[in-house]
Amino acid sequence: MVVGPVSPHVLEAEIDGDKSLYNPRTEKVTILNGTASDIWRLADGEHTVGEIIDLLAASYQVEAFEIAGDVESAIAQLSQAGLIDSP
Amino acid sequence: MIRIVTQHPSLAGRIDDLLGAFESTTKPARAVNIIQVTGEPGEAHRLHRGCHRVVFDEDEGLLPSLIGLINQRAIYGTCSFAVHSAVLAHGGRVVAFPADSGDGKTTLAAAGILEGMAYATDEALVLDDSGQVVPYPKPLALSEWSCETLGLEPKGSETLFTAGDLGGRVVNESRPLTDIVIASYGAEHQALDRRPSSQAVAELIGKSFNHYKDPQRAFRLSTEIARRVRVWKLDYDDPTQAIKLLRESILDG
Repeated sequence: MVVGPVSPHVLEAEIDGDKSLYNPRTEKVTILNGTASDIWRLADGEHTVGEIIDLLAASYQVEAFEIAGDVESAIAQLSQAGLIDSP
Repeated sequence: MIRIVTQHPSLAGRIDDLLGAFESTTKPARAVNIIQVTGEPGEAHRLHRGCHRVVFDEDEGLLPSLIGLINQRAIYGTCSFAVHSAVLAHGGRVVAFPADSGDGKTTLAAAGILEGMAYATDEALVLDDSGQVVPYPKPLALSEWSCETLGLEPKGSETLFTAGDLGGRVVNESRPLTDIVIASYGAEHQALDRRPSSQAVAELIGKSFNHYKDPQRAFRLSTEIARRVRVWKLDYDDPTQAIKLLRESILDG
C-alpha cells in the first residue's frame, strides 16, 4: 500500500532547510527536519513504506533496517497529524 | 469603533490618560461598540456593554475591567493577523514575545519599558498585510506580584500603567519585526539561546487569535516573517534580569 498522497489542504514552506507544514483543519504547525522532509517528499502516493525505506537507506548509505523504525514512526506521525493519507 | 460614555469628569480624565496612546477619531464607523460607565459620584460605578450590563461594583476593579472589555472588542474585531504577544523595540530592533495568558508577557513588557525599551504592546502583535508590526499600546495591567517584583507600587490586585507612567515611550509607527523571543519563566537562572527560524511559524500561528479566519494569509505572513527574524529561547527567573540579558546579548550595539 502506498504512502500518501499529501492532504490537499496542507500549506507548506521551506525555511532555512526545514519544512514547515500547516494543517488549517487541525490548526497545527509541524516542522520537519532534514530526514522527515525527505520522507514528506516521498509521501506522494507513489511509494510504499518499504520503497521509501529502501530509497532513503540508499541515499544515506546505511542499511535499511537501521532506519526502518524511524521512517515508519515518522510516517505514522504525519498520518496522525492529518498531513498525509494513511497507508 | 469603540465609544466610551461616562458622565464623571475625573473618570473620563483617567480613561483619556490610559488610552492616550491611541488615535481618536470623529470619522463615522460601520459599527460602534458602546461601553457605558454609570453611577453617581461617591457611589459604586457600573460598567455596561451595549445593552448588556456587566456588573462591577468595586471601583478598584472598574478600570481594569473596562480596559479588558475594550481589548476583547479590539482583538476579536480586527481584520489584521494578530498574535498573542508582547512587543518591545530598542536599538533598531523590534522584538515579539508570543505567549499565552498568564505566562508573563505584561510583566516582561513593563520590565522592558523600565529598562528603556519602547513599548508597542503587551497583548497583541498585529501585522499588516506587508508584515509590518502595527503598535497596539494598551495600558498594562500588572498584578500585585508583578508590581512588587518590578519595584512598583500596587494599587489593588491589578494596577494599570501606561508606558508614560513607567517613564517610557510608545512605538508610534509601523515597523518590521526583527526578533521573536520564546520566554519561559521559572528557570533557575537567565539563559538565552538561538533557535531555528522555522520555529517562528509554529509560534506565530500557535499563539494567533485569528489565523483560522484566513489560514492562507496567516501562513504566508508567518513564513515571510520567519525567513527574516531571529528566534530565541529565553529562560528566566527575574523579568528585569531577563530584559537586561536580552539588551546586552541581542539589542545593544
